[in-house]
Amino acid sequence: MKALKILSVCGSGTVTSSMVANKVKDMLKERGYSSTTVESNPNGVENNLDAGGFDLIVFTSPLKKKDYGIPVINAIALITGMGEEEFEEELDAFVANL
Amino acid sequence: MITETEKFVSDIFVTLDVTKENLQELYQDVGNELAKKNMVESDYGKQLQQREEKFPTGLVTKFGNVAIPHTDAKYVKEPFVYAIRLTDDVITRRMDQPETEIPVNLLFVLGFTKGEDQLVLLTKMMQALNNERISKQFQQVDSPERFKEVLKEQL
Repeated sequence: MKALKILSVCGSGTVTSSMVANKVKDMLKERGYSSTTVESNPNGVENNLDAGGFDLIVFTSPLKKKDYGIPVINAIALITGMGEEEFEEELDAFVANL
Repeated sequence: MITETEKFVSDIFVTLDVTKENLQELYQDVGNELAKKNMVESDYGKQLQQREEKFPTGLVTKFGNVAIPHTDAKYVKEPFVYAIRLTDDVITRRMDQPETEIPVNLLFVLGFTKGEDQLVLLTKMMQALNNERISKQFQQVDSPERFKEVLKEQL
């Protein structure tokens, strides 16, 4: 099975998105999927997506509202600890659709 | 002696129970103070303020609202945490929903430099804020020295 490709977005495209990316990677592993992650700031989203092959976007700073053709999930819960269950439910729904 | 903390931050700064009308003023003060200590570039305060306007960092946690202002590593010379507790709440906006305003009285300016350690700093900071006992101490301790001790133990 191919590794899933995740775009993780935060304001700077570095620290917060890395923390989210690591957690999402672990959660997907628990669900039997390996994944690779790319971190970006909101302005770099389209350029990154142009590289192709992405399966999911997670974010802590919002991106431009538009259809990216792949699921987009708010991952602030992985930073604040509030609403982690809801995040996992959304991730489950994403995995169920793979 | 190298302590655990010094791997992730060079120093911790604490200002307690100050009154600010708005956060712009606060960021400028923090920037000026840190620039004098040679921890950041001279325009850090301005950069922090601009970055917060574009990408606010207000977080709603189980134990209260906090903000974790930070900006690009290129403006930071030495990694640090600068904690501020305000006398009265000021308004900031949620990181994930900038259209939503939230009141905060506790801010941790995070001086991220480049490198893997910075991820550890954020992770440890959030673990501390998700700990009820620690969160209470951040609101209740009455001296900057004690606040710094509590924070240092967590990092």
